[in-house]
This record gives sequence, structure tokens and C-alpha cells, in this order.
Amino acid sequence: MKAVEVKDLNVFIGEAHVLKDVSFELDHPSVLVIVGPNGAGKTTLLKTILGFIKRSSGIIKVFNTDPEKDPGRIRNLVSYMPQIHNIDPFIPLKVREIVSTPVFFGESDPDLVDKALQITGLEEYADRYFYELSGGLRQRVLVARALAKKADLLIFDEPLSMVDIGSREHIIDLLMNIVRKESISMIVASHDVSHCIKYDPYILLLNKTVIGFGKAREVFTLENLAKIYGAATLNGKIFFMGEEHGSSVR
Amino acid sequence: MDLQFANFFLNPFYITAVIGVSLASITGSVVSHLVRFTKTQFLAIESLHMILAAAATGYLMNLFINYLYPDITAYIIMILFMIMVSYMISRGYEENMSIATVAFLSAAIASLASYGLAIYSPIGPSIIYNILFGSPFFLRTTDLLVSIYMTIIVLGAVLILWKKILLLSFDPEYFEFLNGSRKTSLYRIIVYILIAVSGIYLTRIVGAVAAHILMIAPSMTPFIKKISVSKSTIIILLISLSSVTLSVIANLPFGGVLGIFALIFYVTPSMIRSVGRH
Ligand SMILES: Nc1ncnc2c1ncn2[C@@H]1O[C@H](COP(=O)(O)OP(=O)(O)OP(=O)(O)O)[C@@H](O)[C@H]1O
Ligand SMILES: [Mg+2]
Repeated sequence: MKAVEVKDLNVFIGEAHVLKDVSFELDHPSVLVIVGPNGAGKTTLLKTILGFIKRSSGIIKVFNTDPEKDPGRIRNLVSYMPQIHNIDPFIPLKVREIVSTPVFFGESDPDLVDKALQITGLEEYADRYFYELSGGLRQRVLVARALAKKADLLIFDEPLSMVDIGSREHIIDLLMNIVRKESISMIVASHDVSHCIKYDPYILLLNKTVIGFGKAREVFTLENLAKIYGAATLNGKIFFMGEEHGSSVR
Repeated sequence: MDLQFANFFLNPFYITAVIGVSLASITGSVVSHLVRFTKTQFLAIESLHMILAAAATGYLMNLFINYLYPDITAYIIMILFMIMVSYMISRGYEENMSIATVAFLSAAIASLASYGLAIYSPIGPSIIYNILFGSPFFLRTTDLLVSIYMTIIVLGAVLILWKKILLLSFDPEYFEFLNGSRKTSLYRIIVYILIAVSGIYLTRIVGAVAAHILMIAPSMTPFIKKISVSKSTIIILLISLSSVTLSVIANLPFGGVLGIFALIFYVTPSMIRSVGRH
């Protein structure tokens, strides 16, 4: 059983060719970290997998379902945490209300909410307003909300970018624990793979097109890193040339 | 002197205005929070053109087709405008672009319909005057009854949808993820229609100019960090009622007095101590 199959995927946003011939397959259950510079198309790929963005060509299957054809089934099987910048923090909602969103819309059970608050270390903040929290705590609320929904596949878009390093490792450990214990698949877009590496996830190096896909030791080659971050290699050394992000691969 | 004083406050015109303006303030306060959370200030402001178009067309059509009540026509036209805005958004246009486009159209209709009213009706100019400035002192019993119904309808709808509107405004993408795009746009249309319908109803009581103040100002409350609807409703009630009283004493239009009071109360403090987003 595959959690996700993507074949020859092309996505245009307006005129821009944002994803080019992207293909990969993810077994179920397994963990995938998508790595790439700003503008590489990580968010776009996740949203296309969720069916929010229409693809121009190619095939996507999530648990054998085309997300554009049956969004209802995808909604049942997947939980999602969007990147934090589309959120309006000043809406007067309390932490518990936000984490309970999936329950409010009948997509989950109340006891999952308490569990999610506990995992993310938010119990003491449950009755605080979202806007009273720091950036890192706000991000944890969104992680908790994603965990409060039943799912076979968790999709996180830069879940911990604002969380301090210590808590980051702690939350990743807890996430990995759940994922393994309950046989869930997980896709994480991230700039920081350091804390995941010990769990040996699949890595997708993305810069508009797939630069590398596989286990970390196969993928993180100097060549690949150079390609993805717009640098050049010479005799095993890496040279950054300060190119505009996301524009180095054509 | 005492008797005169009592006469003033027991005057039926004054009492009518107090009831009408109170209802309008309560609705306005709730709608203003809706506007603030859903970031539809542009729609609320631009609805001035749409209200003028809808109200003037309502009266104009009433001249030719007697049984078409001006208000009902106005509500229908206003809802049509909102459906047009939503349709454009669903076709991929930006929200503000869609609102601006419908505003052009409604500005054209507003001027044509007002012109028609001025030509075809001997009382045309005073109807237009009423649409702009309202007539809170000359509300009939039916107007007051309609105001009560409208207040209940708008408040009831907002109350039922409150949590959903907050969650939608907090994270539209996640809301869409859980509810699907069709349901999400439906909630947006409902928000637009609530704003539009309230606009017409407030215009009936206090006029289009003051309606805009009531639909925007109350949620701007600069003193309250935790933006509570009940507190801001009490504040706008006090401001509106003082404005009614002063407008009688000084013989000035209600909308003008309300605008100045609202400016002093809501905007000046934030100018002085530059509040951030609150
Ligand atoms: N709505 C849009 N309109 C136009 N271009 C867009 C839009 N959304 C994304 N893009 C373009 O698509 C490309 C990929 O964007 P995307 O957000 O997927 O990148 P990302 O890898 O998630 O970046 P980040 O690390 O900054 O989150 C970018 O070049 C961006 O300019
Ligand atoms: Mg992104």
C-alpha cells in the first residue's frame, strides 16, 4: 500500500512553472521530509497533494485516491498543518478552541484534543488566547490542531521553524513516537532535518524539480546540496554564489 | 424649565429616534466585529455605492410598480450585488478587485436611479436626502417593527455562525481543508450578505452616511485589548445616544454629530499613543 504516489507532476501558478516533472512514491507507513530552499515549491507540492492546487499534468494518488476527484476521502484520511504565515493571530480564539477545530467540525474525538495538547506541551496554555502566545508556542498550537484529527497521513508545512531547538527535538521525538506506534505516515516540509535524521526518514530534495529522493545517506551528496542551494562544487568543496533563491535549476 | 426638560425627553420624536438608533447601534456593533474579523472593511465602505444604488432603485421602481416595496427591492438588489462579488471571486479575481468592480457598476446605477427619482417624483430630492442622512426622528411604527425583526435576524445569524466565522478568519486554508471549498465560499457569501443586508437596514434608520460609521467604528475600540463585543456595543450605544441628543439640541444632522463623536472616541486615542494592531 502506498501512502502517496506522484507521477510526472507539473504545476503552473499563473505563468510560473512551479513544479516540473515531479515523481516519487511513499510506502505506508513511512516518513518523508521535503527539503528545499525558499520558493522551491514545497508548499505547492503539499497543497497539490491535498487537492487545493490544481495540477496541470501528471498523476497524484493519496491512498489510491485522486485528491481532485474525491476531496472528501482525502479529508478523512489526512491531517494537515499549513505554514503559519497565512494565519490571523488576532482573532480572539483560545488555544483549546483552536486545537478543537477538527472536533468542532465533526472530524475527530474530544479525547484526541487533550492528548494533542499534552504532546505539544500546551496544557498550561489551553485557556490562553492565541495572540498572547509567542511565535514558537503559536506554531505548537497548529501542530496540536493537526494531531487532534484522526489521520493515516499527517502533512506538516514547516511545523517547527519558530520553535526553539530544544523543544524542536522533543516534539519531533514525540511525533515520531506516535507515527510509529500508530502506523501513520507523515510528510514534513522543513528547512531543518537535523532532528529527524536519526529516525532515517525518506528525503525529497526539491527545487522545482526532484534533485534527489531516497534515504538521507543516498540523497545528501555534495553535488545535490550544491544543486539545491545554488552553489558549485569543486574538488569536494562547496561554493555558494549568492544566486537568487529557487532560481538555480532550470 | 423642569417641565421643558421632561417634555424634551418624552417627546415621541425623540423616543422614536432613541429606539431606532439603539437598535441600529447594536446591529452595527456586531456587524463591525464581523467586518473586522473577516477583513472586509473595503466591502463595508464600498457598500455605500451599493446601498445608494439599491435604495434609490427601490424607490424608483416603487413609482412605477406600486406593489414593489422599496425596501424589499433594495434588499434583493443588495443581495444580487453580493452574489456578483462572490461569483467574481470564485472565477479567480481578487476579493478587493471584485468588490471594486461591483462598486463601479453600483455607482453608475446609483447616479442613474437618483437622477430618475429627481425627475419622476416630486419628492425625489427629499427621498435622496433621506437615503443619505436618514430620518431617525420620523420613523413609523412599521419601521421600528422592521428594525426589531432585522436586529433579531442579523444578531441570530451572527450568533449561530460566530465560532465558524472566527475559525474561518483565523485560518482560511485550514477551514477550507476541513470543510471543502464549496462550503467555505458559502460561508463567505453569507458574511457578505449579512453585511449588505445590515447596510440597507441601518440606512433606513440613520442614513447611509451614519450606517458606515456604525458598521466600522465600534470594533476599532482602542481602549479594549480583548476586543469584546458587549463592551464595544455599550460604548457605541452611549456615543449614538449622545449624538441623537446633541443633534436635537444643536439642530444638526445625526450622522454628522455621530461621525465627529466616533472620530474623537475611536481614532484620536490611537493617534496619541500609536497602538499596534489593537
Ligand atoms: N499565489 C501565487 N502566485 C504566484 N506565484 C506563486 C503563488 N504561490 C506560490 N508561487 C510561486 O511558486 C513558487 C513556489 O512557492 P512555494 O510557496 O511552494 O515555495 P516553498 O518551497 O514552500 O517556499 P518557503 O520555503 O518559502 O515556504 C515560488 O516561486 C512562488 O513565487
Ligand atoms: Mg512554503
